[in-house]
Amino acid sequence: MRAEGQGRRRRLGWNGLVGLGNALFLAMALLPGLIAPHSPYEQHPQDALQPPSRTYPLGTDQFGRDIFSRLVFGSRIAVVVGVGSIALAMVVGVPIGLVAGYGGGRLDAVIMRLQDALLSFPPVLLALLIIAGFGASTLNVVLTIAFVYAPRFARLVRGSVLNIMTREFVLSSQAVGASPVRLMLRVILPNTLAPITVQATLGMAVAILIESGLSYLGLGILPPTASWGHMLQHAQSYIHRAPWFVLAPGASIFLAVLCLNLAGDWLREWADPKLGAA
Amino acid sequence: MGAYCLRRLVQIIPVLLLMSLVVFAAMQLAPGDPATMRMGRAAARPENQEALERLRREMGLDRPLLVQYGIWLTAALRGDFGLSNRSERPVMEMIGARLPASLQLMAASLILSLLVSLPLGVLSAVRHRTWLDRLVMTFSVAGVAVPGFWMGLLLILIFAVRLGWLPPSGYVPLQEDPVESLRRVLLPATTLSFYLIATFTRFLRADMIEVLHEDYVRTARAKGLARRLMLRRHVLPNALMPLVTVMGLEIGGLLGGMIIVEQVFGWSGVGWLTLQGIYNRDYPLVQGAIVLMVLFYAGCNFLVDILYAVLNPRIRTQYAG
Repeated sequence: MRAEGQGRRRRLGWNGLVGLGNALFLAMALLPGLIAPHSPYEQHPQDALQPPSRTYPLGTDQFGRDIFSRLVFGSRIAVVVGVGSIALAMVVGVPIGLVAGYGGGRLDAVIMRLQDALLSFPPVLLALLIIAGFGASTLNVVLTIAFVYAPRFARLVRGSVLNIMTREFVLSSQAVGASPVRLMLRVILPNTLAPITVQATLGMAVAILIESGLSYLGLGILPPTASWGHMLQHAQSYIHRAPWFVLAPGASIFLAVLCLNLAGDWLREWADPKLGAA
Repeated sequence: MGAYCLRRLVQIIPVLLLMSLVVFAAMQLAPGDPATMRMGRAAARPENQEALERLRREMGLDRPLLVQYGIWLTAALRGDFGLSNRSERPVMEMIGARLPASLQLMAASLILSLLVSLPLGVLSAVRHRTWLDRLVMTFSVAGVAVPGFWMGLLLILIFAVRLGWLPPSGYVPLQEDPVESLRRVLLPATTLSFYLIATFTRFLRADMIEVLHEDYVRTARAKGLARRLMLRRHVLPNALMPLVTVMGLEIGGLLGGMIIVEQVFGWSGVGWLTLQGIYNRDYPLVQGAIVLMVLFYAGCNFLVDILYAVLNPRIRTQYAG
């Protein structure tokens, strides 16, 4: 008994840490001005590529801009892209999955084939293809990742719907004459929310990884807006003169993605305790 | 067995057709038409308008989009993706020239990741719930969160800039200088394998733990079979099967990662070429490269499905007779 209680407390502490990490990123994104000591755009040419110091906690970049301040403002882009693209993917993917799963028949077959085609692209490849067509900008990055992720939501929801449709509470609502719309929105949808939430959390982590990758390649967020991935592109050019420049932006991406992944794992266990056994 | 192969092959065809439509459509979104791209700056001069119109007709750009797609697709099926906007060389030829570099990098990454993840996965499953298991799991949770290109930059920083042991970038063909070629593939392959090691280890560990609880394993243990022999004969073969599927799926992640990592290390393979195509708005090149990479991915998964059926008697007998 005692050992179990301790185990739970330790897990609670760990989850608390993950929650705190996510909250911190959100706080940075919402109120960057309160945390960042400098403007992310203000250039100090005489202080270019300075090592970390009291004025510049993580040093400066090639234009003498404060790296720490740019990191803080960069979290805003990560949150905008992560939340924006996944929310959009859900808005598009969830209804499609719902209709395909509930409707079945030829409509379902058509939607499934199209979805298979989109899922046959490795995510980064599809993102590159669309960005190559649309051109780089923050909005296009959000649209692209939403496009990459929407079929994943559709597939997930369709699977859950097929699974739930055979359950008694759905059959009984159907028997008492609930309309299809009511069935879909009030009976079926609430029961698919748990896997959707898990997928959304993990999806935000993937979105941040794709955004930073595109921005590193110069195909994502355009300068002068601060983006972690784009900072690393410059950091590589100055890797000999300013090795510290490489560390912080990558560590920010890593920590944000790690916190989201852990939160997703925790949500999954919470929604389905059976999975946590191993 | 033949019936099973055929069935899987027939299932793939509509998916690939739609995939090609997506690639074609994405390039239609791009500003500027291919004829203008091909002519470059000269297309803007008024005296060249007539030549531009002629080129448009020659390239079939005056025909309906669906017809253009049909023409592109039939040519693509013959392995002809047209000419590059920039070099005016056949796209297929350009990609073919870069293929060995990418294949070498992918093979090195896969070999490296299997060499590390097989022992790690087995060890952590056998030592389930010990400090070793926890260490391996922590590593694998962290491993999937590290952005590949950052990992590459860190490796360059440590092994090229600080220690000076390995060159920071560049590709040398294997047949030209095998030692130098392997030296150069080491850092990019390590970068790419990092994520794979984390994923493979996690799956192998979970499968091993599941198999270790099976009845036949208990029987083997009860009859006094030596532990090593039991692991090798009964546990590992059964735990490796799901890993084969995971490997097939991860080829997709590997392709995406490869594009970025080739850019980080200046490794002039197909991924690097694709990016140059995107930067130069060389759309025929981008189309060709992406179609070929998706085909490669689909082909790998097809092979994995077949291999799975060959290895798994349950699927095999389902389609026998």
